[in-house]
Amino acid sequence: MTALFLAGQGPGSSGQAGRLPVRLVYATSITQAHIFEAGEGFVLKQFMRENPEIEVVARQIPFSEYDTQILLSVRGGSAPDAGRVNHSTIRSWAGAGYLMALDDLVARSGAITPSDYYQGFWQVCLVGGRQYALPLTTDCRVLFCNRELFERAGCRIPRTWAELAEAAARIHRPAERIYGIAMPSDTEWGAAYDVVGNFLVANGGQLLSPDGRQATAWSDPAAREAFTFACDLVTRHRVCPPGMAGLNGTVVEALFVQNRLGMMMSGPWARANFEALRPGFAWGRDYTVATIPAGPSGSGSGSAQGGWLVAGFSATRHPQAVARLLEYLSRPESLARIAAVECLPPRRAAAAREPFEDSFYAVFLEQLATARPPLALVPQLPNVARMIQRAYQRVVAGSAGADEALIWLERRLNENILR
Amino acid sequence: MSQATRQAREARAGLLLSLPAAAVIGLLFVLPVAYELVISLYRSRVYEEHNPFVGLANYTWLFRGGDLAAATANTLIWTVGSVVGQGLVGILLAVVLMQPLPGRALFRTLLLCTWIMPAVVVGVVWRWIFDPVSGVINGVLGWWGLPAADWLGSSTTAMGCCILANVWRGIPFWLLMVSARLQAVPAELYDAAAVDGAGVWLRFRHVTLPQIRGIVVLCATLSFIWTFNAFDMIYALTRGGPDIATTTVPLLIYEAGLRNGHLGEAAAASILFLAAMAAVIGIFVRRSLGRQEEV
Repeated sequence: MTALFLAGQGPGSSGQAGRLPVRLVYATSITQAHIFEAGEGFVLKQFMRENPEIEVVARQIPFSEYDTQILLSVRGGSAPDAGRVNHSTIRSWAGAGYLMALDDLVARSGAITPSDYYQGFWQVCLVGGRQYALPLTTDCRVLFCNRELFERAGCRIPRTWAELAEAAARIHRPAERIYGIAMPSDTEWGAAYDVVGNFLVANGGQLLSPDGRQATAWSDPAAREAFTFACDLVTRHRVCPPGMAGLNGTVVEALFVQNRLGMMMSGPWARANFEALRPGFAWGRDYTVATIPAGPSGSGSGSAQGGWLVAGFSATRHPQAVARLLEYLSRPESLARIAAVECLPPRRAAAAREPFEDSFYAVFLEQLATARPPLALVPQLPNVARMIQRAYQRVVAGSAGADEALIWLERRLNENILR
Repeated sequence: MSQATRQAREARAGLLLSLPAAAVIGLLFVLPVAYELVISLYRSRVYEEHNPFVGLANYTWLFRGGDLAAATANTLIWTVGSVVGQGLVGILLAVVLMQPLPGRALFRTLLLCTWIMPAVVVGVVWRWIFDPVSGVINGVLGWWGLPAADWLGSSTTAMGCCILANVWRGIPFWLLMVSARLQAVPAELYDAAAVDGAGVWLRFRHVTLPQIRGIVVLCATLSFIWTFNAFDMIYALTRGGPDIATTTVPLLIYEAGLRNGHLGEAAAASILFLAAMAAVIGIFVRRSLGRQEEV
């Protein structure tokens, strides 16, 4: 009881010698040891060194189960004190009252400078005009091009969809098991962001209206064009490997490093994955990156933006300690370290630090300016993403045409999901 | 003491003794089901603060807007296909392995390995076997000059592939149970049948089958329960896709409740699923008990 009482006093009163430290549970979706130790693990240790009265214990949950496990722990009364929140779930979690409001922290903090953040992602943290999270990492997809296959086919880096389809067709030689382009579609997020999302943003399309109340998958011509092009690569141009209805991300990356795949769309995390799959497969020599080719609508290049936020859970008994942790994680040096290896930092002061000066990141930072989450961040987003995956699978599995699938998608979203 | 008084006292004692077990069952089964029933009457969504009472709206939504009909059809195909496949191959192998074949002990042991593997592992192994780019099946087809197929990505083949993987995993259970029963069948019965001129098929039909009927009913009931409830194998293989081709009711419940946060709809589907399962098992057990009594 004494320990609970002392722990409940918050960091301001528990830093004296002889007092028990406040213990915070911090949830993260990073489970790969080398990434965690180099990023969040390192920053959390630094934080504890500077704040000896606060102990932070990391609860590492695999990405695929993250939202489910956090939801279950919140509903079951064992929520973490702080942790990552995916940008796709911020609305639903904040709306359900699971997250602490951070307006006071942002107002009084010297370390958190709203104007230094990339605005698109900063806005994601505001729900109903209140601040419920802070950007932790961000990312966007770019086009990865295999240099050997491009040189062999005599192709240029594509800048438009027409050039993309042409380059893919020239590279594609299925008899030799060499394929033009592939995107992972085995999860709802892969289908919604990596397959359809990139083309959607690169064509200025909207699958949902900006307020998220209405589906426009069929009604918006730019969205229709984007979805149809993603399907056409498989069914009309036939420049993809077999199995596009459920292709796994690791298979896509493995084909790429084996020089059997000409192009793929992915984020900065792909570099470390390539290195793990085939040590020595190097950026610049073996592959290059370019911005996502622009669609025919004339809106220019664009890409699906994603990323993680960090928030405090409202059930915490140590809101002051949580606020200190969030403030520490938001420092430019912390953000740069956390983002290194697999994503991008969400604020400019962090992006000016190592390793983001490396020219590999130049294209990502350029793409970030035109990137946005491909869908309005409605609470029903997981369900919307699953319906997009189903519509895409209907077309590539041959059970529907693109138009038919889009009409089904729009009707299904409007009648059943967004109601 | 009269017999009636003694009987009443014994009944009271029996009731008292069964109370702890009844309490445990109540806590572990009745209470959760009752809670589930209550949730199913509310618009319970994890992302909404207020969860109003909606009566049977979640149930009607399942039939009008949800995918319950398709998922139920998939569940039936998955369950019947798996149980029948496992049963046929398991019985056949059990009969074959009763013969004095060289290496049959080793073969039996190897077969058991598939049974002790977790379903998720089996699912992942088979996913790689069916992989359209680097899978074993397409590799073998390629040697013969046959075109590669997208086994798990096509609506026409995905469910068949899931059933095949599940049959492979379930065979050892049937093999073990039926083999044990076959070893207890008196050899004289076969000898007598042979003397009467019965061939292999007639001996199987009139001696083996009646002898193993009881164990087959038991295996079928257990296999039915496990397969009807199965979630992990299909999730590892296809996650319910492509589209909704392999989405069974447990997957639908998982998707509605845990992925989409619609607890009310998931609870309604769970209640219907429980009722359907209880009804099927009830009929099954009643019929098999009836037959045993006849015997």
